[in-house]
Amino acid sequence: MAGKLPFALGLLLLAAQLGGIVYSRFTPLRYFCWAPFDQQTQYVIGVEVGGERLSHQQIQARYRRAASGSDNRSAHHLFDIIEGAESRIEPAGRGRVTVLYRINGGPETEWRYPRP
Amino acid sequence: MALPAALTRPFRLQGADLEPRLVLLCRLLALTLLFTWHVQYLQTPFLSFVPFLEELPGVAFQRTLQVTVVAGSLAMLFGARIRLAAFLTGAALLLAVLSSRTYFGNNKTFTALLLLLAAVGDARLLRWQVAILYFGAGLNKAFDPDWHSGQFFDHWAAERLRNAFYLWAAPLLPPLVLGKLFCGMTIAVELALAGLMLFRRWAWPAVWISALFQCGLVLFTGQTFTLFFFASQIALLAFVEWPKEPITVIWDGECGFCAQARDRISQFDPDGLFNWVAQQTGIGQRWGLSREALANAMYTVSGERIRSGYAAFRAMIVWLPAFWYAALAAAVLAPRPAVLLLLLFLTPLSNPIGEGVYRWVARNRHRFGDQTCAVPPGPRRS
Repeated sequence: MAGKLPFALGLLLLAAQLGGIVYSRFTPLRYFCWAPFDQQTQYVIGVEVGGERLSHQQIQARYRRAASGSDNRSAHHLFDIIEGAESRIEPAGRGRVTVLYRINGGPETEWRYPRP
Repeated sequence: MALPAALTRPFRLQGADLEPRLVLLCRLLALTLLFTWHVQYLQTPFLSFVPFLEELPGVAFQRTLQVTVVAGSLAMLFGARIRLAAFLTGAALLLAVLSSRTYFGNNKTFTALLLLLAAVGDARLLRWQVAILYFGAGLNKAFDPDWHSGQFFDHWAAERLRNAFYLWAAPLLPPLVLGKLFCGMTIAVELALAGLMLFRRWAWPAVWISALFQCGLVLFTGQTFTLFFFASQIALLAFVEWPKEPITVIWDGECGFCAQARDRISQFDPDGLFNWVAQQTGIGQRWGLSREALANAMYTVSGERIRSGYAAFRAMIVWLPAFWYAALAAAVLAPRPAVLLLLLFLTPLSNPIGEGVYRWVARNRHRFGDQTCAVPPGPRRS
């Protein structure tokens, strides 16, 4: 049988997840709330830095994500990664990113960074 | 020839610092990490959820995680201090998840949490963990308009997976109806499981529903969703009551083939879970089993439960860790065929064939193997 402290820490881990599930109702991001495979996003990323277009390899290195492909989670994870990477790599805001994406086979939509 | 003790350790569940079902759970998770060579996906910190992790030297951090996961997995398999090994491996995986948004995945988080909670040593935490997983998954889908309309499943099955059954069946119904049916079923099953898993009395139905649901997904998609299928199935061990007493196996002590089979099985039962007693000792009378019945089939007695023939054989095999290690290896190599065979074996679907084969072997058992090695009847623990 478990000791009291490890058991309490275990309960804390579980409680944190319940908090994550509740929090996810108020944000489009789906981290730590058990939303596996709930959305199919097909996307194409285009990046320009100082007027120069980046290659697929450069985009892969920049975001650790393929320049085009599909993702099994919320599309907002992709936007979150792009925003996070851009704010660190190009704090001066020289990067211009366009993501064309479709969620679950729906209409094609465009997302831009910096946000208009 | 006897194997060195360290090599038989993976088959031994007793004597560790966790209860047998949690030892098996940890070892199966360890094997999953090793068989899939998951360490190849561990990254240097990148857009971490915990900012200070990005201040650490990236490659050293990555290598440390990789070494910890491999060493921890091996320690769970071959060591007796499972708790520490599970904690370190789980912590390393959770740290990997927290250190990179691009590594983040539900399957990795779930595996890490299972190991951490197993290290606590209380199966209730693991059961609640699985219930929370299903609750979160069901709730998120229930609020998603594409899951309401059936659009998610329609797109996934028809366009992404090109699933032959779906492509055949969907046009037979009005648009999106089949997708809506699958979406609704998924939400209902996930939310129902979350509820059932909280109550001990509903544990067995929950285990079977969860197993059939996840196996059905593998059969439908051909995917294991990285670690998720394995972790979700292995977690079900937290709901299983491990036998507290040895299972009595009543066998034909005058049959050389049966003796060889017993010796072979005993090699994989170092804990002595099976108490082999020859029918010639008259032990069958204790449960009112006739000589004729005992001559036709072997019997197992576990608590109040008496099984014979193929059902007895199956009820023995499922308690052997080696069976699950082999099943896991097969599922990693070829998910669909392995899951199909496993489902057939574990459910009554295999009874007609299994019973037929068993009866044929039992009838002809005196023609197989070395008949000179039959041992005098008497109780024997493996």
